[in-house]
Amino acid sequence: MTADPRVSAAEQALARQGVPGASVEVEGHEREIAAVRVPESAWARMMGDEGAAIAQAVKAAGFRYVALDLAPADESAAD
Amino acid sequence: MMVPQEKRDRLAAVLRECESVAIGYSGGVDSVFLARVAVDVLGRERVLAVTGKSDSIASWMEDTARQVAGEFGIPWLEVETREMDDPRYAANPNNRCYFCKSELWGRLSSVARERGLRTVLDGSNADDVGDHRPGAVAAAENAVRSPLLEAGLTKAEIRAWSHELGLPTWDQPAAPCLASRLPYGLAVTPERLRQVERAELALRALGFRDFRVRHHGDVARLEVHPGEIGRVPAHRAAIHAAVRDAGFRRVLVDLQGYRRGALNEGLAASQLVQLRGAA
Repeated sequence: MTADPRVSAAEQALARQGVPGASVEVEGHEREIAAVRVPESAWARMMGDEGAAIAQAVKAAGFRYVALDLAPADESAAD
Repeated sequence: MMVPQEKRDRLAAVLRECESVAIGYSGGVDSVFLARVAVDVLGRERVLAVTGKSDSIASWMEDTARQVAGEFGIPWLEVETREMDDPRYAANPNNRCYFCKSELWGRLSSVARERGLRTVLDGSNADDVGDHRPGAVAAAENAVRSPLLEAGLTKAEIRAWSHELGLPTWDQPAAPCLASRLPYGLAVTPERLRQVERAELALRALGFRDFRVRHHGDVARLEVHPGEIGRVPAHRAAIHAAVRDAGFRRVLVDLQGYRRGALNEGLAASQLVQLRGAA
C-alpha cells in the first residue's frame, strides 16, 4: 500500500508548531481524521487554545479532524 | 439577562392562536420551556407534551422529560417511534433528520387528531436559524409551528426565562439525538447508538457536562467543550478505559474541542438545508 502523503505533511506541520517526535495515523471511515500521538511532555499544551491552533496547522495537510490519541504511550493503536 | 416583555407577549399570543397543542417534547431546554409556558397560557387541558421514544434518544433525556412533566404538572405522553425501521434513515444520508422527523411529526399529528388538539408545536428557537435542519422540511409538511422562533426568543433568553420559572433544565447542555454522533454515510444501528450512549454516560460520571462522543466506526472521537477540555489529561486513563469498554478500538480527543454541528463540516453548501426565520 502506498503511504498517505498527508501523514508526513501533518508530522512536519506538528514539528513546525514545536511538537517534535509526534506521529500521525489516518483514521475514520472516510480517512478524514489525523490521529496524533505526542510525547508525554507535550500532552498538557495540546489541550486548549494552543492545541486548537496546532490542529488548524495539521488540518491544512488535508484532514477534516485532528485528534489526540488517549492510549498510554506504551500501547499500540492496533491493540 | 432580561427577556423583553414584547417577546413574552408575542409567545403568549402565538400560543393562544394555536388554541390547543401537542408539543414535541424531548426533555431538552427548549421543549421543556415551551411545554411549561403553554400550560400557563392555555391550561393543562389544552396541552399535551409528547416524547418520541426510540434508540436514538438518550435514556437520561427520557428520564428528564418524565421527571419535569411530573414535577411541573405538564400532561405527558410517550409514543414509540420507528425511524430505525426506515432504511432511508438507517443509511444515514445528510438529510437523515428529515426521515426521523417525518416519523415523529406524523405520529404527533395522529395523536393530536385523536385527542382533538388543534396544533402541533416544536421547540425551534431564533438561534436555530441558519443551522443545517433537514427536519424542518418534515415539520413544514406536517404544519408544525415553532412558537419560540415566532416570538424571536434566543437560546440565552429561553435559559434565562427557564431559570425564572425554576425549570431544572435552564442550564442543561444542548442534547440532540444520539444519531447526530455518527458521520453521514455510517449506518445508524441500535448497537452503535448504544456504544455512544454508554461512552457518554461514562464521561458524565467523570464530571464532564458539554461534550460529544463521535462514532467513526471502531474509533471514538471525543469533542469536549473548550471550557472543559483542560480536565482531560487528569482523567485520561479513566476516559480511555471507559470508552474502550463501550466497544471502541481507539479513543481520540479532538484538539478543537466541541463545536456545534461539527459533522456538518464536510457538507457542501448545496447540501445544507437551513432553518429560516419567522416571517
